[in-house]
Amino acid sequence: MKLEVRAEKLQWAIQKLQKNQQKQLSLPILEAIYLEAKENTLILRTTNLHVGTEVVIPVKVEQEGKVAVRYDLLSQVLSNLKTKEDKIEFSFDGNLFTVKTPYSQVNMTSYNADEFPTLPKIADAPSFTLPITDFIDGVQSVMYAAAQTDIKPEISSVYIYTDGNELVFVSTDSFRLAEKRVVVENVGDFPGVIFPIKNVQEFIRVFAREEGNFSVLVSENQISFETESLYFVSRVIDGTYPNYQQIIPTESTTTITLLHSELTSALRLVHIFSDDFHQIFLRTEKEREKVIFSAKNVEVGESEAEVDAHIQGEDIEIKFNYRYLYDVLSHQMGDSISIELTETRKPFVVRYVGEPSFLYLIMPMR
Amino acid sequence: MTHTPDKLWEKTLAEIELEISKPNYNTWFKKTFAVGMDGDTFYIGVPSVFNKEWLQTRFNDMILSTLRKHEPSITKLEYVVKKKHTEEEKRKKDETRKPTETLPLEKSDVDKDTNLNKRYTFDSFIVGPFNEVAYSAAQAIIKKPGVYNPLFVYGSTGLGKTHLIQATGNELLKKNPNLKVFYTNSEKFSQDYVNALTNNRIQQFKNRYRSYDVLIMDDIQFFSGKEKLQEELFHLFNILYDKNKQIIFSSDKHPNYIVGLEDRLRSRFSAGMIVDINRPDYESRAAILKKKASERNIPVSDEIIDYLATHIDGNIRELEGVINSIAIQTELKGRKLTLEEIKKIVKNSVKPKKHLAINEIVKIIAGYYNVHPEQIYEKSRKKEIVHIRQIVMYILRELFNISYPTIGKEIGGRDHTTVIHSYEKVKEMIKEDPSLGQEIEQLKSILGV
Repeated sequence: MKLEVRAEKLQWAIQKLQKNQQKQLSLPILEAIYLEAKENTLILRTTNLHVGTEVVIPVKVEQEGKVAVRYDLLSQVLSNLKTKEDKIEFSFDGNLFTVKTPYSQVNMTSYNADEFPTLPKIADAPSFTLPITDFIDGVQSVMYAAAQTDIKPEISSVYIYTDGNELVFVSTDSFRLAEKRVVVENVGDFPGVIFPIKNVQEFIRVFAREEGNFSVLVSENQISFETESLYFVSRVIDGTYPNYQQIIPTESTTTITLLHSELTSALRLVHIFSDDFHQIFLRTEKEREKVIFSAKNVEVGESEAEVDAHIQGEDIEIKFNYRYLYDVLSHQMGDSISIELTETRKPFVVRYVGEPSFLYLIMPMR
Repeated sequence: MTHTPDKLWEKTLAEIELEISKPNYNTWFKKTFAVGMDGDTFYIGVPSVFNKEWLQTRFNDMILSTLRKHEPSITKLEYVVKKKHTEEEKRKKDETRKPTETLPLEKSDVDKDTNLNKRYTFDSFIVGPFNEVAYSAAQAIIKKPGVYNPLFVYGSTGLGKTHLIQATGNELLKKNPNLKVFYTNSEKFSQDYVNALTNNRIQQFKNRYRSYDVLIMDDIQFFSGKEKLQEELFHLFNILYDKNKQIIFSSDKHPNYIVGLEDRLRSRFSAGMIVDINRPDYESRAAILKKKASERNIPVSDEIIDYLATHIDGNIRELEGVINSIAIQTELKGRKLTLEEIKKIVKNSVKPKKHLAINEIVKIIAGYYNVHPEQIYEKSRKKEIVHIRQIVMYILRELFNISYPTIGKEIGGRDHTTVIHSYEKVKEMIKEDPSLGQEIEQLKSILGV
C-alpha cells in the first residue's frame, strides 16, 4: 500500500472515528483503525462491535492495499504534525506502516488487516433520505432525558418513530420525559427504532456539523446512516418502548409563565441548599404574581428565591428534583418557559413558549 | 446418529476452540448458542449483528464443515441475532429507594414484529358452547397451520374475537418461533396502504405483507365500500393462499352480510372455515365472571356470581366492566360487598333496553331487506314482501314481547291469527334454514337487543 493524502482531509476523517472507550482485552485488534487504499480513495474504519464507523476520503493511490494500526498512536502522530505540512504519505510494506512528511517519518507495527471486522450492511430494508441537521436536532433535544443505566435497556435510549409527517424523538428515565417532533418530508413509514443512548453519542460526534441529507436504513437489529463519505452503523435495542402518550396530561389547573433567564438564576441559587435528592420546592403566589423556589438542607442551611411570573388558575405547591428542570433549561429553545401543573402528585409539563414541537414532563417528588 | 441442536453446537464449539486463537474464540464464538435445526438448516444465535456479519464472512465454511462431521445432513447455516436470557435477571435488581415517584409508564405488551399483544393467551380464554366451534377451529390451525384457510371468525362486539385470534397467533409463534406472524386490523392495513401510496413505496408494502407466514386481520367489515383496498386485499389473499400461508379474519358480520364487499372477496372468505361466536350463555357467563374475579382477587360468593350471570346478559366486555366496578368498590370500602351493593352497581352499569316504536322497528327491518316500509303495511301478497312481513311480526313478538293482537293492528290491521301463523312459520323456518337464523341475529344486533 502506498498513498498520498492531504493533512486536512485526514484529520477530518480521524476525528470522525473513535477510540474504543474500554480496553478491548478480548480482541486486541479492536483498538486498531483499519485503513484500505482502493482506487482513488482511502477507507478508514473503527468499530467496538456495538457501533461501527467508516469514512471514505479521496487520496492519490500509488499502490492499493490494506493495514490495521493502533488508533491512539496514529491519532497522536497526526495531531502532532507541524501545521505547514500539507501532504502526508502512507505506506505499508507488509510489516511496518510508515507515515511520512517532508519533515518527519514514523514507523509503526501493524495488525493483520484481514482480522479486522467488517461492518454489517443492511440489505432488504427501505432507505429513507432525511436531513442531517433536523435529525441531529431531534436527537439532541431529548437525549439528556434518557436513562443512563443499563437496568432497563429500552429506556436507556432515544426512541424514534413517525407520527404522520413528523419524526418523533423521545427519551425518558422514568422520572422525566422529553419529546421533540420534527416535520420531515418523505418520512413515510419509517419504522420505530430504539437507539441506545451510548451509541447516540457516537452518532452525534460523527454527523455533527455535517450538512445535507443522509440515507437511513433500519432493520430488526440495526440502524445505519450513510452519506457519500460517511457510514455509521449501530445495533438497536430489541424491545418495546413504554407507551408514554397516555401519561401526558391533557389539561392543567395552573399555568405559570416565566422568563428563562430569571428562572435559571433562581434555580442556581436555590439548589445550593437542596438535599441529597436535589429536592426543591415551588410555590405560587397568584396575588403577587410571583413563583417562589426554595430548598432546605438541615445540615447546611436554606435558600429562597422569587421569580416574577404570570399565573393562571389556582395556587399550587410542588416538590421536585431541581436537576430535571435545570436540564431542560440548559437546552434552551426560547426565552420564556411555561409550566403546566395539575396536582401535587401528578406529572407536570414544561414547554418553551412558542415551541409547540417540544414537550417535557417531570414527575414531582413526594 | 442424531443429536439435539444444543449438544451438536457444543461439540462443534469445542473443536473450533482448538483451531482458532483464544481472543478470536472469545469474541466471536463464546456467546453463540444453538437456536434450532430445521431439515438441512442449522440456526445459530449470535449476540449482535457485528458478530453475525463476521461469522458469515469469515467462519461460515469452517463452522459448516465442523458441524457436518457430526451431522452430515446440514448444508446451510442461518444466523439469528438474539439475546440469551440474563436480561430478566438483571432487571430484578431494579433501582432502589428514591423519593421521586416514577412516571406511570406502562410497558407495552405489543410485540414490535408481530404486532400481537402478549397478554392475549388461551390461559385466560374461557371456552363455552357460545365459542367452542371457533375455539376448536383455532386449535386445529395451531396444530396444523393451513388446515382451515382462511379461518373467518365473526360475532358482535365484545365477545372475544380479538382475544381468540391474537391468542392463536401467540400460540403459533410459541410452537414455531421462526414463523412470521403478523396481526393487523383493517384500519391499520388501510393506513399502511395509503402511506405506501403517498410515499411511492407500494412495492415494499406488497413485499412486506406477502412475506408473512400467518396473517391475522381484525375487523375486516371496515373494508366495506373501499374498492381499491379490497382489490389489494384480494391480491394479497390470493398470493398467501397459493403459498398455503395461514390467513385469519375477523368481522362483526358473516361475510355474506358485509355490505359493499366485493363478491370475489366474499367467495374467497367462504372458501375456508366460517365460525361464529355468540353471546355467552348463563354457564359461560358464570365461568367468565368467576375467572375475572379471581384474576383481580375479588372475593365473590356463588350467590353473587349467580345474580350477575342472570342479570347481565350482555357481552364479555360488559361483564368485565361490572367486575371492574366491583373491584374498585371493594378496594374503596375495604371489605367484601353485599349482594345489595352489587345489585346497585349492576343497575348502574347495565344499559337499559332500547325502547323502539313499532314503526321504527318496521323501518329498520324494511331497510335491511331493501324494501319500502309502506309495503310492509300494505295488503301486498307478493311473495318476498309476505316473507319480510312475517319476519317483522316474528321479531316484534319474539324480541319485543308485543301481544299478537297489537302486532296485527299495527301491521296493516291484520287479524291476530295471521300474526300467530306468521310467528310459528318463521320459527319453523329458522330451524330448517340456518341462513334465516343468521338474518334474525343480524337484525337483533342492528336493533340493539
